[in-house]
Amino acid sequence: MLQVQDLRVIYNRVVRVLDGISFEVPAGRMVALLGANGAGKSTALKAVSGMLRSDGGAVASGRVLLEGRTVTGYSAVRMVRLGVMHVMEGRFLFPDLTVKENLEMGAYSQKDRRRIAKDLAQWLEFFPRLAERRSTPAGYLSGGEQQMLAIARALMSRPRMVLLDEPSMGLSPLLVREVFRIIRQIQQSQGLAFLLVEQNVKLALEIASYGYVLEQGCIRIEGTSDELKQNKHLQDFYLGINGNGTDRCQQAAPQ
Amino acid sequence: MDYFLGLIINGIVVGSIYSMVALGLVLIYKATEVVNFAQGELLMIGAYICLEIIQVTGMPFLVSFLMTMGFMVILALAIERLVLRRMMGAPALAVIMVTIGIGIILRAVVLGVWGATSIPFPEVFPRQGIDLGVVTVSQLYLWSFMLSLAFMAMFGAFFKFTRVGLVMRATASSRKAAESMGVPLTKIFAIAWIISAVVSGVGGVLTGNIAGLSPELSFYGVKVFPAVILGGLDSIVGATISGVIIGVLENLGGGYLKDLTGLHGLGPVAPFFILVAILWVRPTGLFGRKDIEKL
Repeated sequence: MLQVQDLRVIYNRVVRVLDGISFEVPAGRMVALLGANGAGKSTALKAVSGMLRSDGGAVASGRVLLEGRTVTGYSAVRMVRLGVMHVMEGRFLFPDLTVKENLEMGAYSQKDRRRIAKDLAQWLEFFPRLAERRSTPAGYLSGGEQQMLAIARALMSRPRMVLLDEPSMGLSPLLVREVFRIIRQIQQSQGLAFLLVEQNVKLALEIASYGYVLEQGCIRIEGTSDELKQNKHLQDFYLGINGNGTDRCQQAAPQ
Repeated sequence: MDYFLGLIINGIVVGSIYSMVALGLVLIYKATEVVNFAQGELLMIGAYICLEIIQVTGMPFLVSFLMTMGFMVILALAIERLVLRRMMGAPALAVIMVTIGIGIILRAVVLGVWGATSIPFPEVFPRQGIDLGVVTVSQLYLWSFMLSLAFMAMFGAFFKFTRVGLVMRATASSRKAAESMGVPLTKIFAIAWIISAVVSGVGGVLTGNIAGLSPELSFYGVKVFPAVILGGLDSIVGATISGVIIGVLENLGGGYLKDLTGLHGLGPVAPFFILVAILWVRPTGLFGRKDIEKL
């Protein structure tokens, strides 16, 4: 569904953040983009969704294809219309608007009011916590509720593909599990394509079917989730275990 | 007592016009993070255009008034298209400088075409008083008050109940979030400028009716600032209430301070004293709020 070919992204005309990366998200699948802070994961998402420009970034070369159509450098307005929705890192809700109004804004690209109302009812039913707080300004929600709202708002646009950036950010481990469970459930029931950016590699590999590991603007490793879980480099640097299954820190400590 | 009540009522009427113009200022600020320093000049040009339409075409006031609104829409669109759209992505400060420039140009146009002398506005609403029981109020003042209230109620309803209003509030709440929902920001900025120019135009026509026309009308832009700061730059309700407070203070100051101090012209200054005092205590204004803490 989505193909990114040899993408280079430059910020403020000088800083090169992505140095020729290629990846692919098949329709209806969840693909994870993994890597440490500053590896360029969020930049890759913004380059696809058209949110790069307001950050001072630009695609220097390479191509983004959506179902075979070249969409390189398209604005967010056009990408949303094509069914690509970006849930940004830090959620970016409308803090002054109520939960319900936030959801309605998610349906900005939709014109059929009856269908919007139906979708709204459907997602409020799916997220009972949001239904309870439908008249509360989004700024007053807890971190977990905010993440649910960000996801629900994206779904209100009836997307064909969701770019999900760091859904675990700032959440307690228990909540992270809950959020990931919901993401998987939505992805499977809606048959949506997901491109997931996540620092929590272990969790990401549990719900994604394929993954790419980004290091310093280049793709270092790629493979199915099972392959990546067995990968020595990944185990050493991201999963915190070595081949023997012991913690790196433990091993380094004097016996 | 009558004197006091008269000052209060005057203040409320003038204040309601301040409120309306302040609404325009707040709207642009909330949507685009730009403080529009040409707000007073927009008000001034609105008043002159309305007068010109009445004098040249001889059409009734209401028609001229509506045509003035139409002119304000076109002017706002022209400013947005020709100047501000090219400034997209420029720092807010640069755009603010540009609004000062627009203000200077508008003032130059007024000076060039109509001159610097004060021109009386043809009588539209009779100045004759209406007895309201407690106090008699000039019909002109009553009409001005009701018209500005009606306009504010209209825009209030627009923001609360229409889809475009929702999108504008959303953009004001978080521009980046709005962009990621597929909102074309330039379109929203244009609408903010249009509404702002229209309310300024209405304010100009009403003020012109009350006080006559002169390039001094552009000073209203500065006068509205205490209202906006008092209310908090980001609060529409705050700006509305503060406008009335400033209007009343200005009139009371003008009415009493001269006798108390023996100094002339203290009226328009009084609100600024209050402004400074309030900012000492509440730097975000009476109704402005700090950002909701994000988790």
